[in-house]
Parts: sequence; structure tokens; C-alpha cells
Amino acid sequence: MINQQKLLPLALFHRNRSLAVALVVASGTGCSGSTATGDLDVLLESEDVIVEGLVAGSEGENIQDGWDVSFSRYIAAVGPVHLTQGGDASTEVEAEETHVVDLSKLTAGTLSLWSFADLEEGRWDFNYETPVTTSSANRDASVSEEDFDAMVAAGWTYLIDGTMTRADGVSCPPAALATPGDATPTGETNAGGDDCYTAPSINFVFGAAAGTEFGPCEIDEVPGIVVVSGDTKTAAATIHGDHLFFNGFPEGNEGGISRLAQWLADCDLNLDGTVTADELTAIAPEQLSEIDERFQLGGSPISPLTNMYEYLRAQMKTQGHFQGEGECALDVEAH
Amino acid sequence: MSSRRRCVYTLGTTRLARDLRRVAKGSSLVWFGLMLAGCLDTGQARVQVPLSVAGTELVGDVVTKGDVPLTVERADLAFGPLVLCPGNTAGELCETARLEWLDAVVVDTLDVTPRQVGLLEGVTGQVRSWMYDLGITSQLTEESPVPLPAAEDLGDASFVLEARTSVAGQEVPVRAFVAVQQTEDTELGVPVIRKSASELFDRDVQEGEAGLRVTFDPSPWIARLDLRPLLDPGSCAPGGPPTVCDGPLNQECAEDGTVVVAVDCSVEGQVCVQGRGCVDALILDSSTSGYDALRLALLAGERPVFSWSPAP
Repeated sequence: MINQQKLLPLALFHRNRSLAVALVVASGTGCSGSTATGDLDVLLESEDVIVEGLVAGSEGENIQDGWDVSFSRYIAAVGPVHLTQGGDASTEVEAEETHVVDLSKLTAGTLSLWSFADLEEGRWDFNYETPVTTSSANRDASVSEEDFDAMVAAGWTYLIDGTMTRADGVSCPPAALATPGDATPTGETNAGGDDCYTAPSINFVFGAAAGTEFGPCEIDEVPGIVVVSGDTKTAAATIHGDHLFFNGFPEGNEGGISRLAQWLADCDLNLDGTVTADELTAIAPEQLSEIDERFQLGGSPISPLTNMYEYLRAQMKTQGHFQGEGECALDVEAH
Repeated sequence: MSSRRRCVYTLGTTRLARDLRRVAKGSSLVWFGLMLAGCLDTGQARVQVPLSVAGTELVGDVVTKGDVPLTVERADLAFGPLVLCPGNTAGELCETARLEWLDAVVVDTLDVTPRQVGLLEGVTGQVRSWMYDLGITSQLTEESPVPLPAAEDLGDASFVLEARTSVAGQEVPVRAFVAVQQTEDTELGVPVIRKSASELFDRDVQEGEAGLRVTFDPSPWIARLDLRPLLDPGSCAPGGPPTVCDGPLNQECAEDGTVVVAVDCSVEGQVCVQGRGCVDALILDSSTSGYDALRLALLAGERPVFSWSPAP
């Protein structure tokens, strides 16, 4: 859930549909021939779960199978931002900078990163990218040089470092792949008959290329943003942090989604307390008994899904939103 | 056929259903009213596009995990409804279906002969994404997904597999009945399979469009099966399971790992399956990883090939 108070003008816009409709009508009637212009500031917004973590429970954004999750690094490459009028490519304007930011350090929720001056007033479509990181990207102060260099070298879009905890937590890696070494099973098995091992805390660290172009974006069926003459408006490219734990790939309403983490705990094949990209790559979805009928993967932006690293990459490609909970079409073809 | 009026006429699967849900939530009567009033002159024409389906001939056995060969005798798929959308992203972001076929049929995915199964109905214009169900549709007006007649013909399943393999020289029948559907844990009201953003699909549909063919190849789905945990020979061991199959022998084990008694399943024409003992066939029901493998393969595995204007 995005803290709406962080974006007061936007919050007013969202909460007052009459105002939203009025603005649509106003923009639709247009002021043809007008050369009036306004400005736009674009914020990078971090979903609050990236900063505050997710907690176990049965409500809303809780992790529903008992795990708490926190992130110590959630580094993302975001930008350029593109605006067009009515989808007309000839009207496109771009803020071309790519910024690499640790979203887990965005305690204020937002960071102003892109700006557009002298835009023709009226409605603009809003699009932005989460590209792979290159050396020309801007490293935010929240990102260490070491991490930035690693992202450039590997061509990653995201570098995520988190911890999942559960007092009675267990890891039950697929028996055919597990290399438990000296670890002693608890004596319990999961639904797939795999031995379980005590694991009250499990780290996960992985980088991934997940280049995606998001847009055109909309919020509450209202597309893009409205530029008003003589004024500076604000828009936000929002990165969600809980999709890694989604049980599907929703396009639109995320209300029917459950957040589950046991599958990730079961990916610690060597039971060293850390799930890595190599381990995720070694596991096919069907080898995890947790990936059962609760998971509906038919909308994956990557197909076929052959392993759990690809599954996470696919989820990363869905994390871009607009103005908090607004939706963006996504296009990975160019990446 | 031709009409210069375009209305939001899509029923059930996309916009109307979605907006009905919003109305139910009391969130947007204004938008709903605008939508109902939204019959616009757009210059689009109504069209009907022939839809055909085809399978793929399997050459030899399908090799499943662990190099276990499987001779596939039946691979029937319930396919439909199918919706084509103007945007690159289907699902809830499919604002208005461009073309849709609301029926479902059983496709023999081993039969290469194209078969026309109906007409996609809608309007001319660009289509860039698709979404479909596998015979079991989720409607927002229903509490549970509804099997269409095609799925009913398969025993309320989306996919039926019948095949054979062999263990220690004995033929083992393998059967699976897999249902693919939305649940309360997922996205009710949305077709289960949607074009990935990474897949290319782009067509400017005009009047006289010759047709769309959807061709299925079941072999990569079936290849994801791992039958070894159920069929590989085992032996009694201290602290091990109480019964273990060793080829056709169903062995009852003592706690110290010795064999108490062994029954040859083949005497009665049966096969021995780990955890089940002597059975007529290996049934991949929903308790097995094989069932999950097929379900996941149907959902997120290799996609069918969509081809326009197929040659007659």
C-alpha cells in the first residue's frame, strides 16, 4: 500500500472521482490552438513494503504463510521517462536519465528525479523504463559504488537483498536437488514428501536483468497526467516490492492476489541460510511442492517459465506502477 | 456484416464483467454510465474471422525427465474461450476485446489436421494480445469457475493425457486429468492464460480476414513430467516407507528394513507405483508432482502458435 499522504495532490486526485472525471472532460474538450505550457516533475516512488517490509498475517498485503520479510537492499534502475500526446510518437518528449536507486533507503517514499519544462498543456501519456544498468546511469547516493559496478558488470535491472524470518520456519528443498550436508531434518516433510530443516531466518540475494518498458500508464481508468498552464504538476513512477511473493501475474487489480514465501524458503538447496540466483536457476517450478494450485502463472511476461529465477525475473517485470497503485501496460519486447 | 457503429459489447470475460464488479463495489457509477453510453462512430467494421485449431504429430516417444520415454496415445485439450485484445497486454488491461470466441472445443493435440471450430467475432483493427481459457471459465457472476461442454467431455478437465512407459520390461499405463482454472486465491473473472509481453503477436485485422489458426504441441508439456519418484525401483530400508515397489514387486517392509512380504503386481495384470502399491495404471492426480508439472506447463510452458490466414 502506498502512503497516499506522501503525494497529497495526487491523493486528492485519486480520492475524488468527480474531480477526475471533470478533469478528463476538461482535457477532452481541449483548448485547441493554445500554446500555454506547464511543467512536470516526476518522482521515483518506493512502495512502503520495500522500506518497511512485509509481515505475516491474513490481511491485505500480509505474507499469508507465516513469514516476515524485510529488505536491506532493493536497488533498481529506473528511467528514461517518456511522455506522448494521445500515443502520437511524433509528440514524444523524454527525460532520458536512468537512475540507480536503493528503494529500501527511500524512507521519505519519493525522490524527485526527472523534470519536464514547457509542456503543452493538456493530457499526456506517461511511460517509463526499468532498463538494465549501464555505466552511463546515474548512481544515487543510496547505492554503493561496489553495488553499482556489480549491476553494470552483470547488466542487472534489480539487485535485491532481503531476509525472511519465522520463529518456527523450515526450509524443505526438493529432495532430488537438495544438498543438505550435515543438516539434520526435523522429521517433518512437506506435501511433496521433501524433508524439512529448521530455518527461522533465510536470506535471499539476487540480481536480475528485467528490462521493461511500462506504459501507457493509468490510474483509476484515467490515463497519464494533465499539464496545466503556468503550473508544475507531479507524477510518480512507483516500484512495488511485494510482487516477488505474488501467486500469479495480475494485470490490473491485485486484490485477488495472495503473497506467499514458503516456496522461496524451500529454494535454499544447500541449507546455508541464503537463497541465491544459482539455486533458483536450478529449480523448475514443478519441483517445488509449494507451487500448487494456489499459483496461477498464465500471465507471466516471460514464457516458458523454466526455473524459479526466471519466475522471479518475470515478477520483476510487473513491478512498475504509476501514482501508487495505478497500472501500466508493459512491453518487454524491446529488451 | 459491416457496421460503422462500435459498442462495448464484450460480455462476461472482459470489460462489462469488470465494470460490473466495480459497480458492485460502489466505486464508479459515473464511469459505468459513460461506458454504457459509449457507442461511438469509429470507422471500424464488424467482422467474423474463422478460427481453426490443429495439433502436432509426435515423432516417437516423448522423453520425460530422467530420460524416461513416454509413448503418448491421447493428449486432448479443452480450448476456449479465446479473446483478442488491441493492446500489448491482455488480462484486466484488455479494455475492450477486439475479437472473441466464447465457445470451447476439445482439441486432439496429436492431430495435425486443421479443424475450423467457430468464428471470432468483433471489429476490425489492430490486435496485439490474446488470452484464453482451457474449457473452464471464471465468471464474476459465478462463485466457482464453470466447465464448458468441452471440459465436461473430458471429465471436467482441461487436459487429458493417456500414455505408456515401461518399468523392468513391464508396460505401465499413465493417465492424467488436469483442470486449469482460476480459484479464490487467484484472479477470478480473468482468462487463465494470457500472452506474455515477450511474445510477438500483431495483426491489423481487416474485413475478409482469412482466419486464425492455433496450433498446439503437447510434447514440451509432457516432457516436464518426472515419473521417477513414482516408478523408479526402491528397496526396503530401516525407517523407510512401509511399502516399496521394486519393479512389479510390491514389498511390505518391516521397521528394520527387511521385506515382510512381496506381491508380484503383474500376476494380476497390474503395475506397482511407489506409495500406492498394485494399481491398474499410474494416475497423475492432483496429489502428484506430475499433475502440477502438467498444470504449470499448460499455464506457463510453451505456448501454441498463432498463425493468420492459414493456407487451406
